[in-house]
Amino acid sequence: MVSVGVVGIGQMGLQHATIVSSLDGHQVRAMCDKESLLVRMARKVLPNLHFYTDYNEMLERESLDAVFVCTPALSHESIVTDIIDKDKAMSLFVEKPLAANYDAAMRMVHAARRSTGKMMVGFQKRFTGVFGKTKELLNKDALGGLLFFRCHVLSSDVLKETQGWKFEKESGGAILDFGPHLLDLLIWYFGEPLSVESFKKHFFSFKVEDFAHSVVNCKNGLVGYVDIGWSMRNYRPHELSIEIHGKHGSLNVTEDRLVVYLDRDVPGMIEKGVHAFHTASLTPQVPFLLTYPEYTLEDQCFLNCVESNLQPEQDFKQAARVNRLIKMIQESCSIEK
Amino acid sequence: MSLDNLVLGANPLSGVDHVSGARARERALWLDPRSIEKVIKAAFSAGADGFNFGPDPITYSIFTRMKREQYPRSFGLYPILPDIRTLGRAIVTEGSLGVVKELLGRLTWSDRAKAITQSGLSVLTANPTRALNAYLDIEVRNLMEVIPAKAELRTVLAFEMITDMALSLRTVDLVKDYVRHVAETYGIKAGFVTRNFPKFVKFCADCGIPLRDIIIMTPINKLGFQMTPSRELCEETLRRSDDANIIAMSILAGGRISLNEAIDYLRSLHGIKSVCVGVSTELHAAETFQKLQAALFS
Repeated sequence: MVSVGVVGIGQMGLQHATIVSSLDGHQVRAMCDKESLLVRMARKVLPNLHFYTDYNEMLERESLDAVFVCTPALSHESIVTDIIDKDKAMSLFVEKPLAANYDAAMRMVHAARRSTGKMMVGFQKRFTGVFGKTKELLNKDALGGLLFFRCHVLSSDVLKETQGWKFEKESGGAILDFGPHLLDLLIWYFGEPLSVESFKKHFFSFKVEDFAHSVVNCKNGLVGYVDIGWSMRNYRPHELSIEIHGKHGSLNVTEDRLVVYLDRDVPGMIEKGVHAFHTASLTPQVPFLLTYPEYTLEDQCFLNCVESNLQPEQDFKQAARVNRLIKMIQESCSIEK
Repeated sequence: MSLDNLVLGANPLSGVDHVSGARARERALWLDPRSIEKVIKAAFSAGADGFNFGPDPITYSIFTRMKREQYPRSFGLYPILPDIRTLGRAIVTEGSLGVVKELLGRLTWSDRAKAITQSGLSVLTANPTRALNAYLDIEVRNLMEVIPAKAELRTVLAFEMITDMALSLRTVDLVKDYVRHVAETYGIKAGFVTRNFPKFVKFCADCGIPLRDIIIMTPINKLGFQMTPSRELCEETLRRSDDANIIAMSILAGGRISLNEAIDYLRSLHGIKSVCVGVSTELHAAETFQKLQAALFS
């Protein structure tokens, strides 16, 4: 059994606590948040859990195997390095992005080397059936040599000036807050890019960007466009879409479905022609469903790794590559309007 | 087979689609309050006798117009209250203070005065159950002020994320208090939307909540779509829950099976009392509800 503590009683903290509590053989023992109002309310509503306003106190008083860090990205470095310094055997699941900037992410990578715990970052799109199938096709070179891609993640979340940590320069903005899942998928599929040229725009937010457009050069001549924006009309719910073209086919994948066109067979895998896959048909049943099945799948993966002493694929080093790409995009921005 | 109620679900009318975000966005482009109102009325004319919806301003504006025109048909209300998603967004962007601002924002000026002076924000911390029930009462009151004269509140349904969090984190007192509060205040059964039906039934047994005292709305379809952990276990739970008030939702598995397939599957089961289905056009409403009425309610 894995005993878990959760830092952050926001939406993601409650979500992970709910899922872990539902999985047989695992237990959430404690949660903490610096907002004392939330902690006082939570104590009344969730009497089976222990609550703290200080994660250091939680670590001292509770016997934990793993901690989920579900706080804003700006706080990740201090929390994670404190926990590693206190308990080098503690396993850590950190919500994406790993850190608010690349330097902090790399310091966390170095800190993780001092630990024997298992480290994972919450890029749960890798557990979405259609994105996993896309990776399979790319691994088999189904499209032939890759030529071009275009992708976007767009939403209508920000249509007026808004306050909060997501709109502060050091902790927010569309690229850092909204882009990581898409950027992680791109790195997963194509490797880290060689160079990036971008521009970004402010529509409603004064301190942070609401939109960024990037031209990305990857290895082997692959080039593509990336659009990240949270102020687009008629994108509720949001859309994450990737279109990839190769010498022998193309594919278009969103969170709903994957459509593949191939002009040749891929032996042992798929015949030439047009194929459509629905995400529901590619996603296994889960023991407990909260929002989307990939959240349960990622938590199961992490807890299995902790129990089996295996390192998850989405470790800090992998996650830091996303922060590096974010940095490349931000530093390459030529125009701000 | 003769079920109790045939309910129109509002998801397609409010841009929610559990299978296709693209379809949800496409619909949202074309739906406006007038066309949504026509779909609702078409569904009622074709045999629907209830409406399941969230507390959004467009729905309330439609109710207001129907009330003004003295809409003649009787129908039941199955609202999902309180609106936790907005609170959830407030938590994420502004923390707990965002929640307080959001809660206060929903109140009238006199309610705010009471909240701040009489019980104060300390109610939230000293007795969050009472505070949440009070918030529910405000939302029910806001709803009752706009509904047509012949509309009847049949239940208030807890949003699925809330139900499933409550059952996993075992908020026994909160749930029992909610059930009691709804029954005593409104004389109706409290409802719960869940995608973890077998676990929720077990949770109710552990809490000592008789299934006949509540309403459960849960996905039931031939593909087992969102029937967690499996279609087979959900079917078995249904068989063992004779006295439960079950509303089957997602009967078309997000549009992946035909209406005829859905009907055949539902007819093979025992234990369902009502069906909830969403449509997005008047023609679709007429076809769907006429067929369901003939097949499941005769």
